[in-house]
Amino acid sequence: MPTSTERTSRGRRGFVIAVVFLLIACGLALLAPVLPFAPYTKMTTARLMPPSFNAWFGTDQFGRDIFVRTLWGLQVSLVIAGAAVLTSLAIGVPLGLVAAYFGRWSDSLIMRGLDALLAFPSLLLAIGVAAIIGPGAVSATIALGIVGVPQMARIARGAALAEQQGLYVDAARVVGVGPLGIMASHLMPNILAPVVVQATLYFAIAILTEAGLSFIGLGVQVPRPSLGAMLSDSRAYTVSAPWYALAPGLTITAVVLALNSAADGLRARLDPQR
Amino acid sequence: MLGFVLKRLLQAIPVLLITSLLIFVGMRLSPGDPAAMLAGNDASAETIAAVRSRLGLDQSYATQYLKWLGALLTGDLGRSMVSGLPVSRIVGERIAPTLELATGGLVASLLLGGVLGTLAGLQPNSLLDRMVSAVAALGLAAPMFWTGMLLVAVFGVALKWLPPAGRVPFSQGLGAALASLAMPVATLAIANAPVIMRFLRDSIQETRRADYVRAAHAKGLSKTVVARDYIVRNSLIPTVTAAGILLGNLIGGAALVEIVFSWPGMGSLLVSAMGNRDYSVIQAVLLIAVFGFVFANLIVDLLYGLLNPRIRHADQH
Amino acid sequence: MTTMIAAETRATAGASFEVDGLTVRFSGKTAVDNVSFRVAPGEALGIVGESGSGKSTTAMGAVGLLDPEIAAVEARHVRLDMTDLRGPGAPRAGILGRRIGVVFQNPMVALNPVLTIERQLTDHMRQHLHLDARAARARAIRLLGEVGITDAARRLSFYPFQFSGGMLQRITIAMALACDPELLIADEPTTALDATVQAEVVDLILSIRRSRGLSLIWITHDLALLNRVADRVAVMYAGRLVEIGPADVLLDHPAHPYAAGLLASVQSLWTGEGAEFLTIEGAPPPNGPEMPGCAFAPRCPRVFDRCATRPPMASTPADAAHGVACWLFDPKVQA
Repeated sequence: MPTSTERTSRGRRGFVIAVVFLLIACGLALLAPVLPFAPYTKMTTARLMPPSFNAWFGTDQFGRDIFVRTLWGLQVSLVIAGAAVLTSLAIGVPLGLVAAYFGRWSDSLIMRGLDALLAFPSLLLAIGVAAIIGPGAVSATIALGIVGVPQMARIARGAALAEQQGLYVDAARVVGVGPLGIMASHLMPNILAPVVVQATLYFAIAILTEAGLSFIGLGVQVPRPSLGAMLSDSRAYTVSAPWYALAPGLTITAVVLALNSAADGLRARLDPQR
Repeated sequence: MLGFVLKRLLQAIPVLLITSLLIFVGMRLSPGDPAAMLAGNDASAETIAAVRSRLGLDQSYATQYLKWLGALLTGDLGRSMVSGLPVSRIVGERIAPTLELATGGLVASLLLGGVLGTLAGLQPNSLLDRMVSAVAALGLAAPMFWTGMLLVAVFGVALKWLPPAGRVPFSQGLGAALASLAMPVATLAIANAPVIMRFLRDSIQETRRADYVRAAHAKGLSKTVVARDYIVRNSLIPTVTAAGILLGNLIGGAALVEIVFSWPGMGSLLVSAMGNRDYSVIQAVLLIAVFGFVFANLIVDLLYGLLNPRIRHADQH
Repeated sequence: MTTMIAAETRATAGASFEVDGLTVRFSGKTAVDNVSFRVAPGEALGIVGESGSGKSTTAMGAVGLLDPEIAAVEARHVRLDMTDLRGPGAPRAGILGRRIGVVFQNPMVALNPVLTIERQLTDHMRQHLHLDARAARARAIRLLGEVGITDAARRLSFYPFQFSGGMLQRITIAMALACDPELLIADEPTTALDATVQAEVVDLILSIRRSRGLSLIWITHDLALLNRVADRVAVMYAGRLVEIGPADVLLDHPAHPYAAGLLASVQSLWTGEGAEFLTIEGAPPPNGPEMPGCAFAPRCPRVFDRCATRPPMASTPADAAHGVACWLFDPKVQA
């Protein structure tokens, strides 16, 4: 039977592996532009080649290196998902803080409004928003940003409500610190831990949802590579090139897995009581 | 219990109104003029105006919304802006396949997640627990449509055990229908069972430490009875709320899975409608999905109340 | 109803209970250190100590109610009459819940919220005594009557949330008694209750003990209560037993400086002499059970050089039945 110290050391190792993997993945994705084969270059002589030394994960229907395209696609995914997380933070956290601080009608107004958003299954909400703004990277970012707001606001509100019980908030109020001051300098730092955990978790969800959007053609548009679109393209070659889907699929899975483990690790360290 | 049911029903109404308003406003904000699209590429301004007035698009938004809402209550979802067919008929054909898929996915996820979550929770940190947790983490991380494609590649193309795509209705034979349903349902379950599994496992872990569980051990009850009547029974109640999360995932996920398996449901209808900007169809599909989601959550809430004696017997004391 | 007759005809249904060398560690850290005591048939032993002194852990560890994932329990033996509860071949089933009943501190959380009272009163009965549903139900109704719950037949179908704390504690007492145990362990059974209900629950347990002739272990931090409920008293400090003896002797003339201090503080509270009420300086050491010497030495007013080594439990010179773990009572020191 593992002791509790063994268990935590296993958890810590998982966290370190996850973070190291994420750093390498981000590095490779950013380095994609300087890697040998440009993703748009078509090497028409070598279409749908199986994995080889020259093309580790084979080539696609236009003879492009699937590994290199995957790195480009990952770059797009990371940028869109990252921007979406920032968007949901920028909207959700202030909403949650205002709801918690002022309470009463502003609380019910904000939270009921967000409940209505939660009534949409998240992928459908993203599809709906992307449909309104039209397909593309920006609309995918906005769609994913909006989808993340309700949960982010809930977490911020919950943490802020708990923090407000603290005496130091009363103390600040007594010495005349205004609502903005209290929210910015007292509540914000203390709700950081749960918000960071939620942001990491949402990063993973955003990557999955972005892949889903681009899979059905609502994400980044051709010829820019995206992981979801690559997977969609590969469906035509399930028989002739079964390896096609491997690199993009594995990449999404590994990055999401690492983000989830990182979120678990962060939760264990930043927020031990939950 | 009756009061609880009524309260939940009343709470659902404003949510449905707000979401319908959101969908309506969203669709009106969309780029492109449906009237111009329907009238054709080289239509004159007069023709477009005529189409617009026929569609009622020249009235104020408030009037349009109220008319739309009124029509909804009578089951009239309008006409497709592309084919001109009644939307209710187009959507009607697609509801059964999606329900099949979502129900199958729900049942499979609950069974798989329930059994594995219980086993893992009752033997924390055992080999089984660690294996189940690892597989669950993978299931949560893999994009659903990719899992589906892998299943197709292995069981549909390479092994030829199951049809790689398409739906066989139950009217054409139970075996064939189930075979066509197997992979889509498995895809949904692989992604969604982990949600239940994790929730139940954590819930069981927490319940194991409850005072009443120690009291049950103090009564000398057998391990099986303590696990079944004291630990699992109490852990299932909070897990029911996780089923709500699951429903949202399933409804959204079904859309992707339908594409992968060429399943003629609401999801593939939505995607094709997005392609030709058939707003009345998009609107209807989103609306039905949201109503279905709210309704399903309502059932989850009621189930929660039914399982919880505190709510079930709230009227007697 | 043969079982019913059995319960009523037994004059002393109590069994002896003997714990020898019990040690409990939580993830390597000692919480209870080498505790030994014996409860004679029909006797009531009170175990008293501050919170964290290991009094509950001792009792729970002895009967195997600590979570094996976090607690490592060792003992030379734990015996109920002639039956050893530990060691290889120990009969795990059929002792706890049948021959030993346990009443816990907080009845509000000691009952399963989703099962009816009937189910919880009868599930172990049916398992241990092989009763059918009707017999178990009849027995449950009689038990509820015994613990003073009226309208028992109707209330069997109720859930825990439909009762008050005092009622729930009566129900858990009925649960503990369901299989006619020979030993009842009451782990601070009144601490979580309203002050008005506390006395009722104490009276109830005492009257049941008398009518059934039970052996009883009563765990409490309330020294004053022990006057009423215990024949013998065991005092624990920092995971160790420091003194054990007849209640009337120990509560009048405690030997161990800690027990004396504890008693003095309680008595100053009773008599209300002046505003100053006596306290023991300092707090129990967190690593008490692992200290090489006497764990009370850092706070003891009578500490001397020998306290750096650990005093064994030995009879006081005056009374062979009165044990104390303190060098002050060592014959060599006395001489």
